Amino acid sequence: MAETLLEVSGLSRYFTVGKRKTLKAVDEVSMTMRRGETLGLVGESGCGKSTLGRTIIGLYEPTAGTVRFDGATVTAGRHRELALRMQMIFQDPYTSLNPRMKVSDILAEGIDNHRLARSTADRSQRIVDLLESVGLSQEHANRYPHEFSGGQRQRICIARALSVRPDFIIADEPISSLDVSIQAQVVNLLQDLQREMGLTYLFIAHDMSMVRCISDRIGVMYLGSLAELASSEDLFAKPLHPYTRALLSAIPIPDPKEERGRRRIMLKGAVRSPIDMPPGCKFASRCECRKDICLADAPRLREVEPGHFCACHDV
Amino acid sequence: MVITQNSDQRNIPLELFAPESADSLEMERISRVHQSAIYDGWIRLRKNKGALVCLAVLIILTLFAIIAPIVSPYAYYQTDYMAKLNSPSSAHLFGTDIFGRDQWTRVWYGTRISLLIGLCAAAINIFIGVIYGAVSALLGGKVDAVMQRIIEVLVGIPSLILVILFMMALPPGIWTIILALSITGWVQMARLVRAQILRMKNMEFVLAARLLGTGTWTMIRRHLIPNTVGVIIIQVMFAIPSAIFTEAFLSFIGIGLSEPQASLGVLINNGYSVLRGSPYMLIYPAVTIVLIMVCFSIVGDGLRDAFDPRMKG
Repeated sequence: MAETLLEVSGLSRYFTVGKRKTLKAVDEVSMTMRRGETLGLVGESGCGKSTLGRTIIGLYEPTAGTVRFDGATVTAGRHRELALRMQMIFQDPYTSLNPRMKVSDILAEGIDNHRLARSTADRSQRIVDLLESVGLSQEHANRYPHEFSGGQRQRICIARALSVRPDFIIADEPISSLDVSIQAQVVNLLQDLQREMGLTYLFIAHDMSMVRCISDRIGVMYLGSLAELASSEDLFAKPLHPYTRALLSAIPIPDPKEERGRRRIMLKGAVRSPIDMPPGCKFASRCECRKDICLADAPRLREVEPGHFCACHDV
Repeated sequence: MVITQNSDQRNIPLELFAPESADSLEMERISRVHQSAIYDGWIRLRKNKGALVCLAVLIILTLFAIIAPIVSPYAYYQTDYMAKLNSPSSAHLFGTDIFGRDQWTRVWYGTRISLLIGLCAAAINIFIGVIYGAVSALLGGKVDAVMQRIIEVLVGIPSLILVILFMMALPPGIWTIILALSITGWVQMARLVRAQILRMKNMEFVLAARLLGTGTWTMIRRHLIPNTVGVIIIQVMFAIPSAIFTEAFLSFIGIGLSEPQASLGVLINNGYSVLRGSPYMLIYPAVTIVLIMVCFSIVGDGLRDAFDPRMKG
């Protein structure tokens, strides 16, 4: 088993809403990531996936808990030191590139900040290398972001994240604003880069089939907490948490005969408001197999089978 | 028909089909020729005829303001009691005033002073306003709250009173006027810049820059200010004529520049007193000030449209 790269323990991030109300965007999440693996993080909109990513990378100060990266504790706001180790790819390629900067300057920003280039020639060589590594060419260096398509922009964002040669990349829904043909292109690129450079990805998304394709392990989040965490095969073969089962039953199957025959789990009831949650399981209001204990006591994430974690009283 | 077509197609031998070239680099080509941003902006500004005409008018006015008083045979303070209140003639193109001073020289000299006041006041406004707004927005929290209350106090006092107080306290002259106009002039700029930066502060490209280790000052210089330039240009293009106008107003009510100095406001004041007998005394400086004000705002709009890369068609 490879060494542990990232260790998140009891990480919480609350926001105050109005007076004395707290929104628990991320609530006591613990997990570890090995060097070189891809962890997919799925869950519906507003379940705290992005907040978790941003807290891990230090954009938000955690309310409680710690993030340890490669043995050292991550302090929020200390991006100068962190920059060379962790980078992030954002969801919207249209707002994540400065419209006033040339692609070459966008890519060189990290190189300049950390004086990575030995000379001007080295700087431009690095820019060309970065562009080529994401399938663009030298002639794109002098252009402005608005001249590119969405997929091209997202690849520029990837190149920018790679410019400082990080070990760990948080991809915050990098494909959800692209159209499907481009999604595959970007995912393939990410996988190629991972093989070449030994990157570790935290891949945030809400498209189950895309996550299955790229991830070694998958974490399912519901209202700020991890509901289930398992290897990709285990999770799809044997989902334990009722929420995961419902999610998986919603993936369309290309074969119409099979599609017609299967049972979909329709969740009833609405998502609870994450503001001032009552005790008990967060999923209890929509759960098929709710018991009395679920309303009284919140289940903890525990290892049900080797490597397969689940937070449910029923398993 | 349809059936025969289909059977025809089936007869086409497979060898005739060739795969469409799928050269990946070819697919990434951007067909638009690359141009520098400034040249690009100029091309788009050129399409805006109104702004072009106004830009030309402004350039001509500025050139006249610089050259005309130097070339003119008369000095702006040179009196000639033999030629009082002459109508425009070949000797005095815009006529003469009650002291026999050449109005042509005085109008251009006055334009020069007015433009100088406008430009200096606007420059000081940008300088203070942009820094104040950027710092306030970026530091946020308590610092921002205090800085905003200071602005509110300044806005609460009518700016004219502040300006007049300032004019009374300091020796009269161009620099006093410029200082007085800057006392409150930067407030609007600071507010606009703050609002713009607050909006941008959590945009993803700023977060990405932070994650790359970009420091606060570099962030302001490289990311935040360039993206507020549009707003700043517009504000400057309003600030210049408004400074010119305020100066004209102060001179008109008699607390601006003093004789024999001339600004457009002083000239309009003088012309106003002899309006019945010699209307040309009022008309020329008034037309000049109107041209300056209108042209600045049209050129300002044109510049904003032309230099915003997102407006590219």
